[in-house]
Amino acid sequence: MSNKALKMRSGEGGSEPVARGWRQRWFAGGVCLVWSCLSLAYVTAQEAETAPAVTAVAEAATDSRGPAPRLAILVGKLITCAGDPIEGGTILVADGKIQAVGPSAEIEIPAGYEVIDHRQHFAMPGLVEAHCHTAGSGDLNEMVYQTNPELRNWDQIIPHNPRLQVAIAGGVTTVCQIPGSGTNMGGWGVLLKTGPGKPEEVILRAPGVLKIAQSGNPERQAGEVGSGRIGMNHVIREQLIEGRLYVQQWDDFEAGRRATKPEVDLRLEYFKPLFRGEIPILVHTQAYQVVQSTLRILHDEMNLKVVIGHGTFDSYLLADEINKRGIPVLAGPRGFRYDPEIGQIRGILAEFEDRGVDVLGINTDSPVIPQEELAFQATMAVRFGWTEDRAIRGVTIEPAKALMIDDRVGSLEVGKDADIVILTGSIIDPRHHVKQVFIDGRSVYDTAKDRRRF
Amino acid sequence: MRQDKISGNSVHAVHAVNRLAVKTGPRRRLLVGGICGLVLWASGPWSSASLGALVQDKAAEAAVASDKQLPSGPVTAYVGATVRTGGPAGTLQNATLLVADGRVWQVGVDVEIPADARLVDWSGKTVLPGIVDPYYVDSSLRPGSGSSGRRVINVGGRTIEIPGDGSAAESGELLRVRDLWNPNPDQTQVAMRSGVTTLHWVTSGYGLSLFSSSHLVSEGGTIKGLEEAWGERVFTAASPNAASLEIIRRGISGQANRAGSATAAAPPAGGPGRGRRPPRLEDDESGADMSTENRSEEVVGEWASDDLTDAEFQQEGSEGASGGGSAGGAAATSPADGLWEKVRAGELPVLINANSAAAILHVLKIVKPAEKAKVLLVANATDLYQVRDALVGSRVHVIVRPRLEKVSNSAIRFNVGRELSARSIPFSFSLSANQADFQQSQDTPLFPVATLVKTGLDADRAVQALTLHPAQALGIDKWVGSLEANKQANLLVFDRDPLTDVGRLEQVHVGGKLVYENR
Amino acid sequence: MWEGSWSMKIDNANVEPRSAEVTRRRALGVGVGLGLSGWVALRAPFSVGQEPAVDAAKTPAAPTSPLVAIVGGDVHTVTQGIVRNATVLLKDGKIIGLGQGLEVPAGAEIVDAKGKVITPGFVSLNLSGTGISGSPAAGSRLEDSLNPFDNNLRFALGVGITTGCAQLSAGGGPGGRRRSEDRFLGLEADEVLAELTERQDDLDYGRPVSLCPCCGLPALIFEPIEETPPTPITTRNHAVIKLSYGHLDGMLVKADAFYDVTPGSLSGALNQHNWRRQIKAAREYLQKLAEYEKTVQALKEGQERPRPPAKGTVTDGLIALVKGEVRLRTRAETLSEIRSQVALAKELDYRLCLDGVTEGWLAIPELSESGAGTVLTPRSRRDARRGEEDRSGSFVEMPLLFEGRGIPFAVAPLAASVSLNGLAGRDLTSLPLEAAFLVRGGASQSKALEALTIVPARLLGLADRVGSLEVGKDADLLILDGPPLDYRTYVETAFVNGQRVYDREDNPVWPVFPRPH
Repeated sequence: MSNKALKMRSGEGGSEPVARGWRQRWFAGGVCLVWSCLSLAYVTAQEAETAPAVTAVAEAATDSRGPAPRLAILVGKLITCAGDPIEGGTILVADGKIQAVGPSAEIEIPAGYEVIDHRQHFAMPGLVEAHCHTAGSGDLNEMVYQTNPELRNWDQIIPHNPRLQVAIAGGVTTVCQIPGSGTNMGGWGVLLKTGPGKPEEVILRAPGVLKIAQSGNPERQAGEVGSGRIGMNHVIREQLIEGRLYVQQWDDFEAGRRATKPEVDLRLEYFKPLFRGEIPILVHTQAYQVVQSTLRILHDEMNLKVVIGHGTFDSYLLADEINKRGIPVLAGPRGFRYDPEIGQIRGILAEFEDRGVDVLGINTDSPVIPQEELAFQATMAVRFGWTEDRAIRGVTIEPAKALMIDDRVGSLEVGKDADIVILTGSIIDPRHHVKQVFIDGRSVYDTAKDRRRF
Repeated sequence: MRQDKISGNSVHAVHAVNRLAVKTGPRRRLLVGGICGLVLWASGPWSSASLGALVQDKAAEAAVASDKQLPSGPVTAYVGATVRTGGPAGTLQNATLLVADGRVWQVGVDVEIPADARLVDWSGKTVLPGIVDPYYVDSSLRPGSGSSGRRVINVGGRTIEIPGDGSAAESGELLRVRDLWNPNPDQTQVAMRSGVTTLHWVTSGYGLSLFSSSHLVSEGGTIKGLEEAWGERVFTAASPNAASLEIIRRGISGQANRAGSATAAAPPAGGPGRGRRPPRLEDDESGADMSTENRSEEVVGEWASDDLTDAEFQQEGSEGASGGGSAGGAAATSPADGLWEKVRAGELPVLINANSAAAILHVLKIVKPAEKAKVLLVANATDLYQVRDALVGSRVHVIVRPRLEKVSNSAIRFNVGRELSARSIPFSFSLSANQADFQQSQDTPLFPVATLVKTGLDADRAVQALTLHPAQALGIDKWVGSLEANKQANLLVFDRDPLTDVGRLEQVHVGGKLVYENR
Repeated sequence: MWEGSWSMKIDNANVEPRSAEVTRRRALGVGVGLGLSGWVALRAPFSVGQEPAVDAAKTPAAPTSPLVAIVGGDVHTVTQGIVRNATVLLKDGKIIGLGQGLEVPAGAEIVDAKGKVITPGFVSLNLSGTGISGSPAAGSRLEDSLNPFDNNLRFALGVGITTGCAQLSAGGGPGGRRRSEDRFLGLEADEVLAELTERQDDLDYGRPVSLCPCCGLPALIFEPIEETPPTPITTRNHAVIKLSYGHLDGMLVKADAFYDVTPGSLSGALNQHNWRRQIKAAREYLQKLAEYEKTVQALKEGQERPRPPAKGTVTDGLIALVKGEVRLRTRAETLSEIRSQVALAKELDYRLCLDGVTEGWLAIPELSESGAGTVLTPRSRRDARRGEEDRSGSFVEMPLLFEGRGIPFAVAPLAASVSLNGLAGRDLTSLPLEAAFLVRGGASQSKALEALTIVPARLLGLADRVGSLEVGKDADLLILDGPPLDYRTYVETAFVNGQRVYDREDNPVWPVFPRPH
């Protein structure tokens, strides 16, 4: 999503919602943010350091979404994305988590569980969208600086907005909302569920990813460095080196290798989870040479977790280099490449698959492709040669792995979030549609009650 | 009886006594001896290709009447070469080629060499007829300082120049090469050094062509080498969605073709039409004894006379200036009209340059009802390949660049000559189709043709596609196109067979004269 | 106007749906009979009914094609169910035999289609940038613009499109593209005045605006309006082409398949007033013409021939519309737009083809009664107005409702042209996938296939030639490697006018790979 329009913001402040599931001590609830007109956050070191950890708040009984029911969902076919499909399956849900999942014959339904009969239907994990711009307000880019590590977008999300409501009807339960590619470093994105709830209830992780745009949109034409790849690579590298130095100082201090406490710099604060390998960079990178720069700078030089976003045009030719480094590829929204030499099109996903890329998924870049059509993106990739069961994994567990949230979502396994999609057949076949969707064990869409949305 | 081979590789010049002095009368001859004994027949009656064809015609008729009739001038015998005649004789090994009066006198393996003939040993060499380029594009041949399609109209008494749109065919403007031709002899050097001895000049868009030799000589402000007497041919571009198809449709069907005259080139602003008169062909001295009435008759028959052309020119100009109105009274006819009539009658060909496979199909459809019309279809090989089946039985003669080309939307290459031959589609090659290639390949100009021969095109067929077939297609095979008796002695000498090997072009002879030597 | 300037007249005759139906039944009856003897079918290809034969003769440049027998496939005829393990015989551009166990004539090229699915070629009512070079200029021949080697044809053939209605010009009306109701909505009196004065040229009243001295409103509307002829609407031009890749003959099927106007041309009181007058003028002309022809027929020797009636501003397209030969095609998205078009068509008695129809699920009774054809794009969504979630916006199950009430619908993809920018499934080549979304919206598989074939053929007035597989119809058919609405299915071979114009293996524009079905 490219939006180079300069947007000015003002007057947003107050108490900051706490990210549910956020385990980092240094990220504290109650951080007071004062937004300048350039969206720069300021906070005193004192506040940041002394604020208490409140990661468990969201788990409290006062969930705006109501109590999580105990459910026994019976389905005709169970696609877990963690093994072979199961004919005739049962899923037990309690406390928003999957309590048991398997063949109906092997699972006894305990007393007190509401039985939901979908024995005519399929069940599968909720879809995971790795590249979304529709979970919040549409202002995606701040264009003044070329790198914006101080920007974060979870203050502008709009949970369960009309776009996400339709997305749910397309089976999408988790999205990674990220800044745009107008600058080389757009800021920090957020992982959230698409269902209703307060921000702290729907947010899965914040910061979720760092958005870097390697090339092909962030180019500057006003005279500064960065009108071409040579300059943009310099800009990205310089910013990351600054961030790495900052995190090193803190790591040294905390490990006792350094006596004086470093100064807190909010501009660089979020580099900590990044350089500690806890979150990945989602890189807007496409075409052979650009992906090559991504591998070299972000992975080889900076030793960061990298996810190749887009990865289109001829970048599949770099599959060997990508495999060597074990880097996930989340391709899209472009699903094919026209090869003028032979007058034929090639399916991007099929080409990556043929070359043995392990973690391989597809995305929409919504609203470039409407968010509800994530599965249809996979459909088209299958049409162009991707293997169907890999395509189903490619919209569920594979993006979850790439985004490092596969402990929570992406498959139907015990202990994971009960994000379950019930549908009339394979999600890949556009003739089938979604009947019901559960997020965190709560039904958020049910065509028996709601008008069909997709 | 064969003459013994003359040993050594130096060329012996034997200056023979003119045995028919009585018949031909006194002539001035000049022998220019080069360092290697080169002989240049600078001013023999047949030595200049620029001589009016009526002269040749007359002589040719006489020659046809008696093939073995002795030539008037000295005879040169080229012996020992492999001669690819381009004609029915095919390829002759160890052949003898007799040249006299700038023309081929005899060619064969059992040719008797006159005792007084100058003998030249070409053992080991391969001789080809001079190449006829049937579609020599000079896109600078545009009215008004080289801008394409520019024209002047009159709006409310004001003269407004409308910039060209890049395609004269779109505006239907008729471009007459002879009016626009302003050749610099250097310009044709590339062609000559590549073995192309006869040029059929066209430009982009719609117009009337001109023939010339590639050996142009500037002498006293005039250019020698034009083949005015061979006449003009209609050529036009064709593309889908363009007025060009309408031009062809009207021309082929015989409906009034006003497009040419209505928007004909106006005189350049501020200058009289005279400024763009074609260079005059001046008779050289040796032409003085030619029958003048014959000449004028011939020229008038083929061309408009000077005065007529001027009047026509003025009329076109005034019509253009009045925006196509009929200020002059009598409706003007386009100079193309007469040629189109001959096209319909099958007397002259029309050249149609189709810019795409679709354009070819459109052209085939349009010309189909005109059963007599001879259509020379200029197209690129890739497009031709796409319509190869439609070309079968279409009666068109194809003009194409000789080169291995790619099948569209694929990496597969194919041999256009072989494909056309296999379908019995007549074709000629145009070596100049790509000017960059043309310039770079002067040392071995037939290399691209050799690649076609190597991949399945018959070598004699390839020679004919370069020489005889374009000459026949254009109706000039009486004068050029093969090494046959009475044709212009346009010879190419290669160090080895250029059709089967990498043959370097060593010499180019035009009208019996050595005009280029590649050392 | 287009129709005036093309020198080649294209068969504009439109067979009424009812009579086409009769023809079809008759043709098929004979066809089945012929099925017993392939030779009879071969020898008398057009004995199957007079009308197809006549139409074929009228068709410009009737193409010749070799005798082909497609053997063993499951044939989805669309109009007559599925014939399993059938033989289809093609010759000279037509289907000359279809049935089980037909004898294959000697000399026929045999195409083995065992295990394959055979359907009619798909008909797209929206096609641009495919098969036609550029935008043909007024005064040029449409046929000269055809490009049978356009690469986009291969992409479209590869998904099954064999006939398309190409949009050639934008059109517009006296009100331009802006809808007057939008322009007047919420305007103050003086702004309305400004709007009207601004429009006076468009209205062509021939007089300067005069204002009422007491109220200040323009007086022009009342006075001179009857003096001037109605302003003709500029229609959008179409041409129906076959995607006969590599073949120019038979590529152009028909020009002006619709009387296509922009929505703005017919909205607002002034435009509609103008429109009524135009229709009236056209009907009056036809009446005068009929009287004239009657008079001429009754003429005796030596009597002076009367002058034929003048057309005035009545265009050929308008005549075709009021005669019922073509449908008025326009975009109607909202409920009010749909209702307005349906009401006008009912009042003025012409047939409709409505694009978009996003809120059509709210106008089921009106649409059903009107007989309007519709063109749906199931994936195109329109948000509901706030607070009117159940009474506005798009509804995914509209195809279910339409099918239930017998409202005919064709399907259109999200874009009318072939796009190679890499975004998959959103351009012309996603047409069959868009039909799969009709099924998602509740349409039956057979109705969804009809939306790709016979329904658009009927809307184009070409149901006698394309849209189903029947003896006597054009030999436009697809050999598919799977069910027609399956996302994995590709066209293996496409025939257009009996010619093999696409072959997936030989001509691979789409990826070719082994598929475990």
